[in-house]
Amino acid sequence: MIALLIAVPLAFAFASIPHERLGRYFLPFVALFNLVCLFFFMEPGQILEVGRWPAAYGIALVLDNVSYPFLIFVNFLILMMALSATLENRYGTLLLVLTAAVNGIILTGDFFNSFVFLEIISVIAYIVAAHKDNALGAFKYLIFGGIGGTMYLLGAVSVYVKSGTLNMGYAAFITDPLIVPTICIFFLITFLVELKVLPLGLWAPDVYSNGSSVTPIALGSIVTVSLVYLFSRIFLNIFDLPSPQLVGILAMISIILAELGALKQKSLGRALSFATISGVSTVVAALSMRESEIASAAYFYLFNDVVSKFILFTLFAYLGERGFKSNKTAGIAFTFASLSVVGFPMFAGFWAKYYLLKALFQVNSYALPAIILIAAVIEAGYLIKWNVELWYKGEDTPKVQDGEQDSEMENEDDEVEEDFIPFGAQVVTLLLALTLVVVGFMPGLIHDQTMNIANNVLDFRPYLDLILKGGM
Amino acid sequence: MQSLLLYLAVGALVGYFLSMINRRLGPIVLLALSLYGLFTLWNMPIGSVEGLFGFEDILQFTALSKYFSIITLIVFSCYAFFNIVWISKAKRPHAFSALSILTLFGTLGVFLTPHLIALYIFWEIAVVASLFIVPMGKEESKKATIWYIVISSIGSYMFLYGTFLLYSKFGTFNLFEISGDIASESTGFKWLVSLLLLSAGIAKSGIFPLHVWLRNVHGNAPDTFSAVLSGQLVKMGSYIIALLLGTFPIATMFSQFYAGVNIFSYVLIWLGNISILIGTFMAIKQNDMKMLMAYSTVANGGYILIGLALLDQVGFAGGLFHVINHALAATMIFLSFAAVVYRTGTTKIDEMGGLIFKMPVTFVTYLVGIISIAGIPPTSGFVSKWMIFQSLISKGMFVTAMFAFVGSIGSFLYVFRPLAGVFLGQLKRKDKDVKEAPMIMLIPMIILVALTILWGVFPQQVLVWVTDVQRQFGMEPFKFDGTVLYSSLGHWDSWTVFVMFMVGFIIAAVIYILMPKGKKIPLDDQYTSGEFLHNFDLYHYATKYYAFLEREYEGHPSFEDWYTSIVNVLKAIGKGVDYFVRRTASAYTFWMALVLALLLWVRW
Amino acid sequence: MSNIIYYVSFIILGIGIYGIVSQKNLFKQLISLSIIDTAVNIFIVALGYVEWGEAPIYSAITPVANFVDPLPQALVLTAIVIGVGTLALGSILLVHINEKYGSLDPDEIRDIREVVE
Repeated sequence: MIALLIAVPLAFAFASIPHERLGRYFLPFVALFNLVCLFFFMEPGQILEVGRWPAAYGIALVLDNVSYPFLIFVNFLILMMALSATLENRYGTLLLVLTAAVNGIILTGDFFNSFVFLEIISVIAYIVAAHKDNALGAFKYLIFGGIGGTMYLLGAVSVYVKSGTLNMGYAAFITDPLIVPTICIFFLITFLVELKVLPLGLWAPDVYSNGSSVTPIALGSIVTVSLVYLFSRIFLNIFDLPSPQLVGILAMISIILAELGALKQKSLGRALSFATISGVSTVVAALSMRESEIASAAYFYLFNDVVSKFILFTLFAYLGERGFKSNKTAGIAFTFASLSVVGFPMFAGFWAKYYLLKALFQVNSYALPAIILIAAVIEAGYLIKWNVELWYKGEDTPKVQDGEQDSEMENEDDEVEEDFIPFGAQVVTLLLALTLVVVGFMPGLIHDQTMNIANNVLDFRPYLDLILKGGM
Repeated sequence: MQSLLLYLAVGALVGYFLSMINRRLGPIVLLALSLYGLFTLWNMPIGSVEGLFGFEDILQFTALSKYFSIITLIVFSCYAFFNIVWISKAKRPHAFSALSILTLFGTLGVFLTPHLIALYIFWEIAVVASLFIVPMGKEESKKATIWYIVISSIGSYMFLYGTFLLYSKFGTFNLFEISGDIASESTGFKWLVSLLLLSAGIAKSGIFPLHVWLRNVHGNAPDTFSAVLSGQLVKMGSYIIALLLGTFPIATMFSQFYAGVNIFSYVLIWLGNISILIGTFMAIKQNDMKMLMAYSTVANGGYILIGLALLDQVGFAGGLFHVINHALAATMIFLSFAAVVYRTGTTKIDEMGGLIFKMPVTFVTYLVGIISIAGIPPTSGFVSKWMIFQSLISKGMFVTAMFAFVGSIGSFLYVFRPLAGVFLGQLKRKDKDVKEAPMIMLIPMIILVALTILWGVFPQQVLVWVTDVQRQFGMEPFKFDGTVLYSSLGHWDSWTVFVMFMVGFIIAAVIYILMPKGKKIPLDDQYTSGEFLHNFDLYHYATKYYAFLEREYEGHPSFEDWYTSIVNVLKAIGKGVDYFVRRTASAYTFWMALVLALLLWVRW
Repeated sequence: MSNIIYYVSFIILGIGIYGIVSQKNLFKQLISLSIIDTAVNIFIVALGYVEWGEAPIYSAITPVANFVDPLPQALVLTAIVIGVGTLALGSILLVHINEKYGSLDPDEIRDIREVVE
C-alpha cells in the first residue's frame, strides 16, 4: 500500500509521455490521490519490505511518525503547486516523476535507494532550474549538485563497508568512532549543498530567480522539505552529527550573509532567493542543536518559511515587479506572506520565531537567537521596502530599468499579459495566506504536530523497532 | 477591557468596508470607538484584571494603563473627528481608516497587559498598522517607512531578546512577577536586561541614538497621521520607559552615582540631554513645518526621559505630566498644520505667510500649542516643565538643568518660526482666497486648546492620575492641594497665576477699549514699514530664518548620515556575497573543497 | 599491492577536481565532473574486493561461492547510469548556453550578460 505513493505517480508519468500536455492534468489528481491514501488508508507505524526481502537484505519503505507528517505536507505542496503553476509542455511528466521521487526519498529506509531517489530529484531539478531560459544557472547547479551526489554515494558505500548492509536502521549500529564522522561528513557535504547553506549554497540565487512559477516552488519548497526530512533522519535519528558547533556556526554565518546579500538586490526574485537561503539555514542551525523543543520549533519555522516563500515566489512569477494596483488580493497575500517571514504577529512566522527563541534560551544558547533577530531586522528592511514599492508602484516616478535585472525577466514581462494571474494561482495564494493567519491565531495546530515529529526523530527506538520488528 | 479590544479589532474590518460606502464613515467608526473607549476606561477601576482569548489574567488595568490610555483616546478622538473632513484628501481612505483603528487597537493593547509577550504582540500590531499608513503621505515617505521599520525593529527585537533572557532566568513572562527577583542578579545581567528592554522605548520615543527616523517619518506621513505619530505613538515608547523604570527597582538595582541618582538613570538622563540638544538645534534649521515639529518631538522625548529617569517625587511626576502635555500640544500643532496644508497645499514655511486673518482659529490653536511647548503659564506645559526643573535643581544637577533651559528657550525659537512664517507676514498672492478650515476640523482643535488651558489652570485631574501611578510604583506621590503644587524648593498656586494672567489681560483689554482706537493698518504694513509697494515682491522674512544661529553649528555631524553609512557597509558586504554567487561552478568546487577541508580539520 | 587501485582512484579524483576548479571552458568542467564520477566508481568497486575472489557469476568453475562482493558492483552500475544521464543533461544545457551566448567561456558569458543587463 505504501508503495502506491511512489508507483502511482510513476505510472501516470509514463502514461503521460505520448501526449505532451497530459501530464499537467494528471498532476493534481495524483497529488490528491496520494493525500487521500495518506489520510484514510495509511497509518504511521507501517513498513513495507519490497519483494519480501527482510530489511537487512532488501529495501524497506518505512512510514513512521516522522515520515507521515512530512509526506502529507509534501503532497499538499505538490497539489498546491499543480493548481497554481503554469506548466509548459512536458513539465507535467517531469513533476509526476518528481512526486514519485520525493515520496520515495521520504519513505525509503535504505541508503542506496535514497541515493537513487536523490539523483532523480537532482536531475529533474536541473531541468526545472533551466525553466525560462536559465540554462546557465542550471548548469552551475548541475556541477555542484553532481559533486554533492557523489559525496552521498561515497557515504552510502562507506556505510555498507562498515555495517554490511545498506539499511538505515542497521547503520545505526556502526560504532567505530573513526569511521562514523567520516561517513557523516560525506553526507553533510551533500546536505549543505542541497540545503543551500552558504558557501555551498551559492547556486540558489541564480536558480530561484528565473521568474518561473515552477522552479522556486518545486525546488525551494518541495525538494527542500524532503531533504530536511532526510537530514533529520540521518543526523538526528541514526547518526550523531559530527561537530554540531561547526555546522551551527556555518549555518549562522550563512544566515547573516544571505540576509546581507538580499539587502543589495535590485531584483525581487534574487532577494527572495537569498531570503530562502537564510530561512533554510536557520532550520539547519536549529536542527544541529539536537534538542527536541528546538527541533520542533525548527520544523514549525520550516513550515512557515516554505508556505510564505510559496506565496511570494508565485506572486513574483506572475506579477514580476509590476505592483499590486490591479491585484489587491494578490497584494494582501504578498504582504501577509512577507510579514509572516519577518515574524510579525499575528502570523505563523511570529510563533515560529517565538518557539524557536524560547527553546534556544532554555538551553542557554545566546548567539543563535541574536543572529536570528539581527537577520529579522535586515529582513524587515528589505521586505517592507519591496512591499511599499509594489503597493505604490506607478503612482509617481516612471519605473526605472535597473541594470542588474536579469535579461530573462525582461523577456517574461513582454510575453505575459498585463497583471494577469491565473485563477488557480490566486486561489492557492489566498488559501495559503489564510493558512498563515489561521496558524498565527492557533499555533497549536501545527505546533503539536511538530513536537510529535521532533520527539520521534530524536528517539531512535521507534524507528529501529519498526525495521527490526521488535527484536534483533 | 476585553470587549473594548474586541470591538476595536472587529472595528478595523467594519471601518474598512463601511468606508467603501462613504469614505467619511471610516473616521466616524474610529471616533465612535475612541469615545466608547474613553468612557469605559475612565470609569474602570484601577487594578481590574481580565482575560483575553482564553488567556487568563492577561489584561491588567494599572494606574499607568489608565493614564496612558486616556491620553491615547483623547488624541485619537480628536484625530478621528478631524479626519471626517480631512479624509477626502487621503490617498487610500479605506486602508487609512482601517489601519488607524488597528493602530489604536495595538496601542491600547500595549497599555493593558503586563505580560511581556502579549505586550510585544500588541506593540508589533501597532507598528505594522502605522507602518502601512506612513507611505500614504508624500513621495519621500516611502524611504521614510524603511527607516521607521528598521529602527523600530531594532528596538523591538532587543526587547524580545531581553524578554527571553528574563524568561530563561525566571520562567515567567509577567513583568510584575519578575520585578521583585531581579535585584538579586549580577550587575552585568541587570544592565543588559534593562538596556535591552528599554531600547524598544528608546527607539519608539525617538531618543538619541535611535532618533533619526522621526524627522522623515513624521514629516512625510499623511498630515493628520503625523499627529497620531507624534502625539501618541511615541508615547508608547514613553510608556515602556515609565513601566520599566517604575517596576524594576532601578533606584536600588544600580549603584548610586550622583546626588542620589543611580548610574543607570544617569546614563538615561544624558541620553535625554543629547536628545534635547539635537532636537532643538535641528528644529531651528528646518524649513518644513512638519519636520520641524518632528524634531520637537525628539526634544520633548528627552524631557520626558529626564523626568522619568529622575525617579523621585517631583521629577517622575513631571515626566509623566509632560507626556500628556506634549501629546496635546503636538496633536494641536500637527492638526493645525494639517488644516493649513488642507487649504494651501504646501508644508514649506517660506511658501506661506500672512494667514492669520484667513485662518484665525487655526492660528489660535497653533499659538496655544507653542505656548504649551515652550512652557509658559497658564498652559499645562508650564506645570510639567516647572516640576522637571524643580527636581533637577533640587538634586543639584546643574548641567542637565542647563540643557533643559536651553531646550526650553530654543523651543520657543523654533516654534516661533512657523508662527511668523505661516501666519504673520506677507500674504502670498496665491493664498488670497484661502478660507478657514471647515467647522468639523475646528472643533477638535478648539477642544484641545480648551483642555490645555483647563489643565494649566486646574491641573488636579491630571495630577490625580499621575500620583496614582506614583503610588502604584511605590514612590512617594507628588504633593498638591487643590491648585497649589508643592515641591522641596517651594510652591505655587496655579489658580493665582491664572488670575494674575486674567487680571493683566483685563487691564490690557480695558486700556484697549478706553483709549482712542489706533489706526487699523493692513497686513502689508507689518513688513513694509508703511512704504507703498509698486510690485508684489517677496518681502516676507521666512527663508533661512535663523541663519545667524545656524551658522554657529553649520558643520555638525549628522546622525542620519552615520546610519546610512552603516547601511552602505552592510550593502557592500551583501554585494560581496552576490559577487561570489555570480561566479561559476569552478569557484564553487573550490569553496566546497575548502569547507570539506575545514570540516575534516576540525574533526581531527 | 591491492592498495594501488585506491591510489589510482584518488589520482583520477584529483584530476577531476583540478579540472573543475581550473578549467575555463564549461564543457571541460562537465567532463571533469564525469571524471570524478568515474573515479568514485572505481573506488567503490575496489572496496568490494575480496582477496582471491572470483567474478560473482555462478558457473562451473566456481562451485564454492568465493566471490568478490557483488553489491558494490551493483551500486556502481546504477551510479554509472546516473552519471551518463547527468552528462547528457549537462550537454543539453551547454548547447542551450552556447545558443544563447555564443560561447562556452564563463568570462565571455559574464561580459555578454553584463552588457545585456
